[in-house]
Amino acid sequence: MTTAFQIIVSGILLGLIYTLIGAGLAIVLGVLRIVNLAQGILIMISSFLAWDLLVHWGIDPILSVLIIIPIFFVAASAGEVVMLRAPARESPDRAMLLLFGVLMAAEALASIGWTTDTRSIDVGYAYTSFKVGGAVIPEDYLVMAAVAVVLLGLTELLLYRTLLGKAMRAVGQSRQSAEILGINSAWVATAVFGLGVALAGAAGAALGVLFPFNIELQSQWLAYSFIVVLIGGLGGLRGSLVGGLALGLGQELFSQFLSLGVASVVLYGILAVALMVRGGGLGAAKVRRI
Amino acid sequence: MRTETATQAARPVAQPVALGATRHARGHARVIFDVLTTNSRPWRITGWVVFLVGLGLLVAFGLTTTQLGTLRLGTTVLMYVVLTLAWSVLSGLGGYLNFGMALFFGIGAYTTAIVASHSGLPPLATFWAAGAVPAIFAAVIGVPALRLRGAYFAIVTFVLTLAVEELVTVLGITNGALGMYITPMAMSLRASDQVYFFIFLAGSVLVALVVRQMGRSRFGSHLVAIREDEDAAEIMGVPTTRVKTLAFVFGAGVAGMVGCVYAAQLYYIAPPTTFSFSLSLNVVVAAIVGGYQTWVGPLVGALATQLAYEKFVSSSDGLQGTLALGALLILFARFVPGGIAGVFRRRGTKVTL
Repeated sequence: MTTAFQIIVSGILLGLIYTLIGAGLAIVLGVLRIVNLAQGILIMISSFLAWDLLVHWGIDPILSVLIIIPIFFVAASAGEVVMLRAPARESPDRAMLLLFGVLMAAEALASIGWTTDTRSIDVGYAYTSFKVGGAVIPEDYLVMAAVAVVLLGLTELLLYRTLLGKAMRAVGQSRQSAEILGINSAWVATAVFGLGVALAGAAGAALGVLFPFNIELQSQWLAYSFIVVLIGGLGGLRGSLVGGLALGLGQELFSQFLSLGVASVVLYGILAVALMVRGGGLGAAKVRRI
Repeated sequence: MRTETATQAARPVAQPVALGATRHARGHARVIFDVLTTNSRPWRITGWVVFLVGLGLLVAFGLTTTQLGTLRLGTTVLMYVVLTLAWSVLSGLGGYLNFGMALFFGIGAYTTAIVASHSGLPPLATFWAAGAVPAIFAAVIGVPALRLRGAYFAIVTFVLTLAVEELVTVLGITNGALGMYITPMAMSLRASDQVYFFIFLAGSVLVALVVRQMGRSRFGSHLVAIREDEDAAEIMGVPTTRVKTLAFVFGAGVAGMVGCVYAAQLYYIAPPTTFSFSLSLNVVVAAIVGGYQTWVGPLVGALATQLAYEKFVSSSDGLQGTLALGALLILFARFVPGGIAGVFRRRGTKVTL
């Protein structure tokens, strides 16, 4: 009973952070139709930055999130304008190819710059925990889940309460119609890409606190982002929330019964099968209907 | 890509160069055309002369050389030529990006290791098994996976590589993370290097001719029609699922056989080196750099990328190699849509790209 409660509590806290990485992918995919293959490596780079900020400047990861978000937003927006815009206009596949190149180049650069060692971010609240009704709640999980909730709330406000958010949703529905109505879809696309990457960056700092990390973890984060989007679909943040919580709970459940290697085989296997059986999660429109 | 082919499709059918296409694809829509036959005759003859002279030089080089390093570089280039050509059928003609060549390559290599160690056969004699197992695997996953369009198919190939690598790492029969040894053939170093060079040379020529023929056949026209507009192709009577799956199976089978030869050559395989993304990436980059819509592109691309590493970085496996590859992919995806072959064709034949 306590085990079940424990799984549920930590699964939900973890799931909120997974929602963040899924939302980053889902926004870019939903509005621009581009699969951001570089998502995983960007999450890793953010973890490394948070580590650097803590070790060299003593900045707490919670503050690092506030530093990383604008850096990632500006860098991603600039990258979109210079590199991604032209191929994306030609076809989303071409943009994905470019992002595959970004993934490889960034992984190599990060391995050179930060080495392939495993690191962990040690903050005061990483080792404390408290008990609620028999479940042990690590304080870092709680803090980072709270950060995730705040960021998700702000994103929700941006998407549904501002004019820019409305423009983003309009471009997602139909780029041509949005253009006809006077929306500059190119700049909206830039903002969307920046936002998606910024969310991934925020998640990277949070995940860096929770788990020890090395560069190889990037493929896992990319796969996890896919899983969240696959379960939750592209229907906005609520979908990502469903996907994120399902993944968090599923991971906690698997890790109770399976060894680490087998658990990742199971997760990747589920992802592959789910993709093939139900491509609907990743944008139902893309499944063959004929 | 789309605009290019639309212009070509709109060219009058009466042009002599389009004969091949009309003969095979009579009764199909105008979207069906043959990329290769748009080359004019003088260019085609020049191409064949270059091809045969190059082949003759390679054979002479392989027989006489004493520089084993260069010979091995040639072997690597030819290996990527084969892989990229195999890749280009589904991904170039059909437009379905495949990021998982390492998956089938790895399955082929492991099939060889397992069969050879259990049966005592020499590794190269397990050629057929190494081609058949990945091909069957591709057929099984192909039918559901190819229901997905575009990017989603690419993701499946990407994720499956991760899944199978993890699986191979935990399974007992594959000896887990320790990898497997294969008994090497009893030959002198030079003789064995020459053998593998000629195997890949023969493989390149064979696969190049097969892929060229595929591009000109009804099968190739079907794939191009799928790339241009899959719904339209389906309505026009193209058996899309069967065609796509066949192309996928072909690529997987060839990649598996390459994996077999690779395993025999290195006589040691381990999960991270056989299911490596740098291999999948090498193939994609070679295709993008060379241009993947004709069978010439992969030849040019594999040669250009592998020589570029040899010149500028120590090897394509290390970090700098991956960095260079990634950068090349970014630059070509951004600035050179048709690859090297595309640039050449535009200048030489005035085909609007």
